[in-house]
Amino acid sequence: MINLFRQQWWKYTAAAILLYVLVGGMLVPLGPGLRSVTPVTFPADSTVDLVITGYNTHFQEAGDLQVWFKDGVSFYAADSVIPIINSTARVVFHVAAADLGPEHNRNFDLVVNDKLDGTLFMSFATVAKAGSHTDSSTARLKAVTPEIVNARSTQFAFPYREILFQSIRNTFFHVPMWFTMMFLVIFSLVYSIRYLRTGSMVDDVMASQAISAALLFGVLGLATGMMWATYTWGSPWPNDPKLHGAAVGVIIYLAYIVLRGSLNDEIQRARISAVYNIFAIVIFTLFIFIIPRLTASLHPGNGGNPAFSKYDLDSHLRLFFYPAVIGWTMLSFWILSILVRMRLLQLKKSAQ
Amino acid sequence: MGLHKTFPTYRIQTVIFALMLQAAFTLFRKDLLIEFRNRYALGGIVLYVLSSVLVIYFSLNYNDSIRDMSPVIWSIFFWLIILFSSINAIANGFFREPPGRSYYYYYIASPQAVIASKLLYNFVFTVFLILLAFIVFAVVVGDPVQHLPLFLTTALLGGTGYSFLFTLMGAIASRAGNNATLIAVLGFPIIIPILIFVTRLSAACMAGGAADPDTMKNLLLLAAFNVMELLLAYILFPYIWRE
Repeated sequence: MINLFRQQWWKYTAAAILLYVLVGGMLVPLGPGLRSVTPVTFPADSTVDLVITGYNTHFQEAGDLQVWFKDGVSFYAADSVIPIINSTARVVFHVAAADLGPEHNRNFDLVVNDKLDGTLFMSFATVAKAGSHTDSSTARLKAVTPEIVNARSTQFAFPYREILFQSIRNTFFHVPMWFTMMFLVIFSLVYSIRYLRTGSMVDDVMASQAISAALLFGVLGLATGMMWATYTWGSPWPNDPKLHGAAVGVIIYLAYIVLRGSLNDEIQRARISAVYNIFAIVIFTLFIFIIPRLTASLHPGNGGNPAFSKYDLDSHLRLFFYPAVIGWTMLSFWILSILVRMRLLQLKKSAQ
Repeated sequence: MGLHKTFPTYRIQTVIFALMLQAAFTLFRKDLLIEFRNRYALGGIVLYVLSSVLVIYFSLNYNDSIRDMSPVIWSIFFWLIILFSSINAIANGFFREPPGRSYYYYYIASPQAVIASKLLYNFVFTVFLILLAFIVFAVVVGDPVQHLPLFLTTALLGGTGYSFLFTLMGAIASRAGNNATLIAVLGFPIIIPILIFVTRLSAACMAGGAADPDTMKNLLLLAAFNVMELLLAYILFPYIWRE
């Protein structure tokens, strides 16, 4: 391991991968999506002008914009569709009061299709409500079969998600922080067990410096997560078991640092902190496996939410996400190698 | 050769284990004896529990909220008092030992015997504290417990969890110059899972508390946690013990 730490090639590789992730992850545009429909509610039995606003869309350029209103499995065509600019289109649509059903209102999802943007979807986009008659257009709704020109966007872009928007790029920073922290913690556990078996000081240095590096990445993971949560979930510290696990993990390893600081004898410090490290990681693992099953979670892959691989992580994100995990992990081991070599030199100097 | 025939390996191990348990019981009796001879320490802990309950009682009573305290709040207060008093009692148990005495134990008993005696002693003491705090709580603050057998099972399992965890942390802290803050710093983050289980379980056996469909599952998980702690303590304690 020490020999690997002295070699240069993987450090250059880490830098190259991270440069690719930073540049690509920041420069690849966001795919087309629907932002809003105004007005949100409109009266039945009247012809309404709805304004659809898109993001990175090509309503005008594509030239074959089609709009449907979807309720359950049925599609209803708009009366007329006029693209104004690339990101805005005017749609005329009407609903007869007789179509509203017993609740006197009806939700519609919006489906938009053109040959450049593919199919765009917005759920619960607009609501028709019973209201005053303004004109005599009482024609009933007629379900149509949509003719899709091109199902997928032709751009090379990251997916547009309702609450994520541009912050989807944080996938390359926040998620790998936790991967990296877990790798370092496991690395430290292995070296703690090795220390108890061999009693070699190098193993202790490895274990303790890995915890220091893991703490750095844990704090960065919390910071990036809090920024992300502020803009997507509305609060920097939402009630979420993953967060609780992360906070407890960081506190456990801060306690590890405090414990090491309060033990003066070198060998005793190594042995007792190794014991605490093993004990702590077992309890911590049980904690993060059990607690999410007791409550719901906002994170993907927990509490009924689909995991990243289900649909959040599309093939364009993957192109940067996997290199990001590898790159950040390698960077963390680069940091670890510097910490370990520094500590070993200090030990050598104090032994002289 | 003849010895091997009459004494197969598994029987030798059984004998060693039995001797270890005997040593553990002797050490346990010694701890108990010291506790009763030095009644100030015991009285101090009893008074600690009493005054913590009174602090909570007065702070609730003079804010007019003792009548509408929910089962969850009751069990959180209760288990927090247990948390602080058991961490104090266990820390005192370790700090009471004079520094040189561990050398003496080192000669007369195996580390397994020492940890077994400590675990047993702290378990008995913590369960005593829980029962004491429960009686005081029931008299002063009120007793909403309806399902007493479930509450006692929770008290037993929770007491096991608290005492095992704090015993190991106390052993670690006693190596680091008997630093009282250190037990709390090391123990509190990893006691959280047990705290969640015991508060949920004891809220579930109270009047007005929601009947929890996961009660059986939570009891089993808590028991599994305790077994895990016991195994870790048994395996890792010799490394702490060694000078």
